[in-house]
Amino acid sequence: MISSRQQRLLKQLMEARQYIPLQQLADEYDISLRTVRHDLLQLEDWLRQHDVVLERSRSAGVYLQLDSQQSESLAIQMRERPIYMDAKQRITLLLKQLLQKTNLSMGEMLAEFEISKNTLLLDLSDIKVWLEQRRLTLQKERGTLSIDGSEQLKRSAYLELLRAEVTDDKLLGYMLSQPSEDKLSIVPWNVWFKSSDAMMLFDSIQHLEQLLGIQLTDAGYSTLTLHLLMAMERLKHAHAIEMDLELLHELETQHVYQVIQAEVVPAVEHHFQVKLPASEIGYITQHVLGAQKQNVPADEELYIGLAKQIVSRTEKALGHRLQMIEQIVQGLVIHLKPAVYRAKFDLQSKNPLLDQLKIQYGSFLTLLEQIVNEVMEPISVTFDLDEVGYIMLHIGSGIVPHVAQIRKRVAIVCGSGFGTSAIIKRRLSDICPQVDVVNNYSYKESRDITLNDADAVLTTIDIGHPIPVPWLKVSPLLTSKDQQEIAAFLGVTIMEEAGTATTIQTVNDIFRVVERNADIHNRNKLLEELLFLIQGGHLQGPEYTNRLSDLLPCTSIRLQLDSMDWESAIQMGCQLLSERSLSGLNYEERLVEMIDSNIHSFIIHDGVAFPHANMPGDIRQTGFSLVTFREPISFGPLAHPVWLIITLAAVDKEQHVGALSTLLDALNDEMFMTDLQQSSNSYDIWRSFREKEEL
Amino acid sequence: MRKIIVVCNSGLGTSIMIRMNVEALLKEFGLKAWVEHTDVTSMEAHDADLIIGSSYILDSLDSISGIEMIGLEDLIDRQYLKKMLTESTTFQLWVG
Repeated sequence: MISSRQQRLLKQLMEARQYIPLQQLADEYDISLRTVRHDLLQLEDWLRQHDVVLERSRSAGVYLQLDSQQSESLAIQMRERPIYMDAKQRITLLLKQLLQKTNLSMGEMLAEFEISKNTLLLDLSDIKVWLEQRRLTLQKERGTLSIDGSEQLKRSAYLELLRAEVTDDKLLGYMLSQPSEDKLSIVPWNVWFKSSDAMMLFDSIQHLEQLLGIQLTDAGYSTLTLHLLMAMERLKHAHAIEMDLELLHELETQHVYQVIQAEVVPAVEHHFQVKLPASEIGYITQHVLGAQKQNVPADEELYIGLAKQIVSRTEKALGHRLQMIEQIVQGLVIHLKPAVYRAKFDLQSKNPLLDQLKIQYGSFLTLLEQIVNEVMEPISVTFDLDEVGYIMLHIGSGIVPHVAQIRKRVAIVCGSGFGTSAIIKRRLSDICPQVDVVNNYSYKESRDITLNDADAVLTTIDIGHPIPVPWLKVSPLLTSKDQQEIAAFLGVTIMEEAGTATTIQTVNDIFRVVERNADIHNRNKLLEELLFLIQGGHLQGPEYTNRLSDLLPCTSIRLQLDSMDWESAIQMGCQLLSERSLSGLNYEERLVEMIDSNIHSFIIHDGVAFPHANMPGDIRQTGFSLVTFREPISFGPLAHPVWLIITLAAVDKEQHVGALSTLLDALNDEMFMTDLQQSSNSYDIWRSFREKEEL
Repeated sequence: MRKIIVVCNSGLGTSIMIRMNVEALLKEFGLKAWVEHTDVTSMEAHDADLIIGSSYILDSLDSISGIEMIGLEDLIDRQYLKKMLTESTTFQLWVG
């Protein structure tokens, strides 16, 4: 028998290609030379039993010369049965076997552990004390050992043993990282259970979670896994499982019990080749109930506390309050829980939005990283920047003021793709102006709808094939019942007839205020637009934005600028768009790139450049900007002289078409062009566009 | 049906403006033709009678046999376009 240190020594010798001096071993293992010699003597004995000779040299040390066959057989020897030599480990395993089996013969134990009877008796007296502390009694009768005590106490004793070896973190980390290839870390566990068994049970519990629609806590998870492992061992050894009958009957009526019996037990029985008695299912039920009832609230509070701390520290750092704090905290609580898992088990993944977030929030992201990790410190968790990015998303929703209601994009499906869908579209724009009808589809085409096309589908016929977008069947007339359903389905409010009266009242009040303080050019239009706005409509609605004067507001017209290089000119044009939140930074880069590499036809006329590109991802809304220069600047590598730059950001291929038509008219109007070249009054120019629209 | 295709890089800016000018001119001549605008990558021009675009774009396209191409230096000037159209053989055939 060799000790664990001797075993390590042996491994080292097997791997070494030359003699190892004894002093080196003494230093490495921090033991005396005398102990080294003693260990080597024992090793030598053990090796001799396996027909291997340890070579010694007085000057050089020791060396193990093995042919491949020998080293293979030694490796197998070492792997076959771990050699536990410290008494604590041995006692643990003795205890485990005792708790597992109904009875155990001392003779078997002596053989199995290769120890003397004296040692065993010493171990047993330790075991006896340990058991007594747990209100269990060790019985010894004619060389047979058994444990007396209630089932519940035996179970908790067993679990206590397991727990000492296998902590929550270790178990979950092991399960979540799955085949970690790192065999070494599994080795001590093999003593307790086969990893494939643990894996199977882990999957069963996950399945159970889904079936019951519950979430177990970390601790609940590992306890249940360990409990099942223990139960299987004991069942295999034909251990009787007892449970108070009254309690069992009560448990049997639980939904959880029935689900476990129907869905989990058959697979487990098959895997372990055992039969699960009702009492065992009862114990499992108890665990499941306990794992969620007791632990979840405490957990939840922890995360709420963390989320609140993050929010309040962020507010302090920002110097002002965040909006919608409640939602942020709620969102963070839901997010933090799995995030903490990920951090604990080193499963943090790349955040695809990180680069974008860095651009958007810059140094604030670094600040948040600091805040978050300060908050996380007490629970020994560190988030990397990718994870902090996700938290930034939550916090960010409180920084960006939410002005507009969320607009829903809805596609309509009907038999033909026309006709009835047009009716629905009309009605829908009346009853919920915050919904955009983005497209019509025929039944056949509905197969191709994706979430990129629409958030939801309203259909007049049942859709019989799976589509990735949620759909709701409605009557083409959108009855009041339909309207209620649509409201719930899309999460929007329906303009009610009754509400309209108060709305009109409000609009009239506003109208009077405006009238008192300003000249009104177009009374009807003002009333109409106000009404549309108050009814939840958006001024960017198609009816009002197709015009050039809407897409190119006065403030986006800059005239008679001093000369600059063309890159700055493009930047100027784009800046006028991005300050209206129409386009992002990439748009400017793209345009400069196109001009630089000469792959464009932006010079649409002598002296006129019209930069634009199809970049739907980077454009939030359609719009134009216009700049003129006192002296033509030299545009692009070919140095075209340009005095007018009109920049377009287009979100699609339609919204700007009407505006383009006006623009085209204007560009073909010599008088206007002369004005434009000389004028320094943006408002005049904007009025000219207006007039052209009203023609 | 007579078919005219207008091409540009993106299919959302210049080609629309050229198309508008073409349509206005067709109306002026009392001609009927199907006009489409598109970007270079999605161009399917094989059944077109006439292809119009900036000369920069058309220079980079392989010519398609039997289809006349009009390359424009100025993309918005309607009078210039009118001149280019009336000079094109396809258009002359249509006017008769």
